[in-house]
Amino acid sequence: MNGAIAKEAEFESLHKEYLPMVKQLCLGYVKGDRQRAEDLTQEVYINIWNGLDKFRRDASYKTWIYRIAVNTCLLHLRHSAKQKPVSELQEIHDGMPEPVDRNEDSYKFLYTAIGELPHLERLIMMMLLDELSYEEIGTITGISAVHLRVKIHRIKKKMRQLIKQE
Amino acid sequence: MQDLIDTWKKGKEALSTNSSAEALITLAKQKKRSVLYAQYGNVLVLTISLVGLTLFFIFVAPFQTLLSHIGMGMMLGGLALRIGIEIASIVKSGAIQLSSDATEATKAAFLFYHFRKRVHGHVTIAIAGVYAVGFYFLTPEFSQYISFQWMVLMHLSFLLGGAFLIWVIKKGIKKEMGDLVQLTSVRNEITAEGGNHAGQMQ
Repeated sequence: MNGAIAKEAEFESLHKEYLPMVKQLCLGYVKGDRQRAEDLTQEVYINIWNGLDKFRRDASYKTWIYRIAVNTCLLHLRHSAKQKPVSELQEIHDGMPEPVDRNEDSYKFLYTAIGELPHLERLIMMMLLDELSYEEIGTITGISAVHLRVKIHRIKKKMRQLIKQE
Repeated sequence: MQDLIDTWKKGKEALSTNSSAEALITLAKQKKRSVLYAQYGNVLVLTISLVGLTLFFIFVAPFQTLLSHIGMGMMLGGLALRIGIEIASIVKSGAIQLSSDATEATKAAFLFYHFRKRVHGHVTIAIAGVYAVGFYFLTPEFSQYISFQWMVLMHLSFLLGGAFLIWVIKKGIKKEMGDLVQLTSVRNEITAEGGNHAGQMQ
């Protein structure tokens, strides 16, 4: 019983600390589509909850959550969106409707530009913007250091062009 | 690049983040239950069918001829094989570890969908074929004990059941093959960039 309470407390703490990071990653992955980002964020946190028992602490919480978030995004397949939409989630626990923050739209150009990149590049770009080290990005993606350097160089170049177009 | 990083930081600060962790925990528990029901539900239904059919052949309709025995074996064997495939499918889907790196996770997912593709293709057609032929092997002996009208009814219900099953399977194939196409493009992107486990895929 104590284990279950400890797990819930750990999850709540991870939710509080990393929600902006996860949400922004999801938002960039779905080109700024707020509703899809909410669904994806929800899916990431469900996967975090399901994986919490197996977390071996051989990586930091941040790297572990990043891995789950990146994999959830990559495997978020078009036809398999069977999870309950956010609206339903809110119905279950009435109260706390998600307010629409108009400021989010001010950054839509950035999410749209990121969304123009291929799937993995999108995620790598966002990890760069979140100032993760090359080593951390390599650990999360499983891409070797040499290839990662080349890839990041290409992504930055593409991103500059996309921002100019925006 | 620094400008973009600064904009990114501001964007993060502007995000509304007041969703409830408690609600997510409840939803995660519900979802886990429904996934388990869906996965083991198939195995359970097939196992009940297998046991029911076996009991039917033992206690209700103990067939005597060699052709009927072959038919029984084909029907029961087809069902047993299908149960085995469903269990293998659960094991393979369990190999997708979201906490592993992206190269490894997408590789496991790719292998799972490839397995499903094989299962949905020749294997399912072969099992359905063996099951149907097995059923028709029973009919000569069956016709000795039941009237013509009941035989017609039995064949019609078998055909209708078969048609429904094909529709369900086709729907499943269409969905999973769509997923496989998308996953293949993600995999190609990763393997082209020298993922640490990319070589093992080829």
